[in-house]
Amino acid sequence: MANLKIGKFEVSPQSGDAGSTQIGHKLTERHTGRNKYQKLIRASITNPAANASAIETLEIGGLAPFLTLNTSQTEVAYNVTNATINGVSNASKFRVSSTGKTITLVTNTGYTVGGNEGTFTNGFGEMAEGSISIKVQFASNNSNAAETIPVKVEYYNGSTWAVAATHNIIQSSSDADVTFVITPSTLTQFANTGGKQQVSINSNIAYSIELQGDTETTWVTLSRQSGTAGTASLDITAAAQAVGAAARELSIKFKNNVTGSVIGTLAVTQAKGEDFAISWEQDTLTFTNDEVGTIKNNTLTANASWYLEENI
Amino acid sequence: MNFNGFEITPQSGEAGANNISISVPAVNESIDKVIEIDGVCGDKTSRLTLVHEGLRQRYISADGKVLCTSDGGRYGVLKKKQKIVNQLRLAIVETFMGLGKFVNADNLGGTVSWDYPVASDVYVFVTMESEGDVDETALYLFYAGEKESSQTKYVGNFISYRLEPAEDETFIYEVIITDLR
Repeated sequence: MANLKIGKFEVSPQSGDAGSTQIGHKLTERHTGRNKYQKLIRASITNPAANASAIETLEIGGLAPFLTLNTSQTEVAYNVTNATINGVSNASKFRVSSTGKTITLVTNTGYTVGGNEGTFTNGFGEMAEGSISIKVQFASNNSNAAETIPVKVEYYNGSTWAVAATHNIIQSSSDADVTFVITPSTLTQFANTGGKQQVSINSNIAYSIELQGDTETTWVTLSRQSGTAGTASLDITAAAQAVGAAARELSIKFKNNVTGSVIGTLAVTQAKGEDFAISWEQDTLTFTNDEVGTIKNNTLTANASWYLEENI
Repeated sequence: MNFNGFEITPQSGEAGANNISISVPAVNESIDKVIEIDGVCGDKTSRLTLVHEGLRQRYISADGKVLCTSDGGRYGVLKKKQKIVNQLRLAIVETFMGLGKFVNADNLGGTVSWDYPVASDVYVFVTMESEGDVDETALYLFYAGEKESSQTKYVGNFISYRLEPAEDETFIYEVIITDLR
């Protein structure tokens, strides 16, 4: 007997004979949305003349709202005045605050801003968790000591505000005798098909290069991980996005080999993957009773794995 | 896989153009069966409507007594009529008038409700008269449908056959309701 896939469920057996039959139900993946997930299954007598069916409801309760951050800290150069904090959530809104330097929540993809509160796009998190990118702004650090900005991120759990985590933004000190210039100073957004961009780096000190900013950085590769005084190029290569993947970003940090402070940053962003797509060649097929046993073919075209389920 | 009387293979697959085979394994002796199949790919769906035509073929070749006419063919040759359920008459007529089902010749489906218990499938014969002459006669089939909790209101599907009155004519509807069981 074959299994029947209905959304996040598998049901087996899919058919049987007269009598009482135990039907097994398996949940095949987590439901991460805060709303209830529901699917209906129709069991029907095989003989069409019977015109008898029974509908079963399968449900998964909503997951309590949550918000988690991908990393606990971000390092930026003394003159960098904004940072993006990435994470995952199914909440409807969030807010940020700092007990250190003043921060301002600024608009970014996926939410709107009211004061220090961000409201996710309507419908976000209801049926599935999603990636979030919280962008905050702050003043540059012109002192000779690094500054830590503790950004407390809270989310709305449906009745009250709950603390998600505190993300430390470490802003390096101003170092007057260091010359470090990246040309061009920004990268263009990578297409979802991936690609390569090159920058030229002029420095009067030795430095290291690393990727920061998210849990997953393997989609970016660098042509080198360190540099010496002088001018040299750096190739940045982004891999292709998977179908349906969200936009992503990370930061390349250039650090002083002696002090460890960040002397330059370069943001790497990539467009979201190709949207899922699926279509039938013909959207209606009609059988007459003269066509019992006749097989009619219809082409289903999709750009990723797919399955069929009855809409009830 | 069998989806409510339709055999559909395969039920899942990978990216690309996929040939989906669809068939009906048995004669549909009921009214038209319509189901919707969603192709699901990530967060996108594409809907396929499958129709298995029912009843009309069954009644074309019966015992030769033609009870109604239709779009070039003849339907509704019924073998027996056992009883008349008069109390449904008014409700049915009013329902027809309200729904205006004579207007669209190709309207083969819908829902109707009435306030009387209907124990089984019900056939309704409608004679249309214009200026004293019988113009056309039609067969309407009602399925008993599902009882609602109140036990007084019933909702069922019906299938209607073609009648094409001119817009400026006045018609008299005579309805006979027959329980065939």
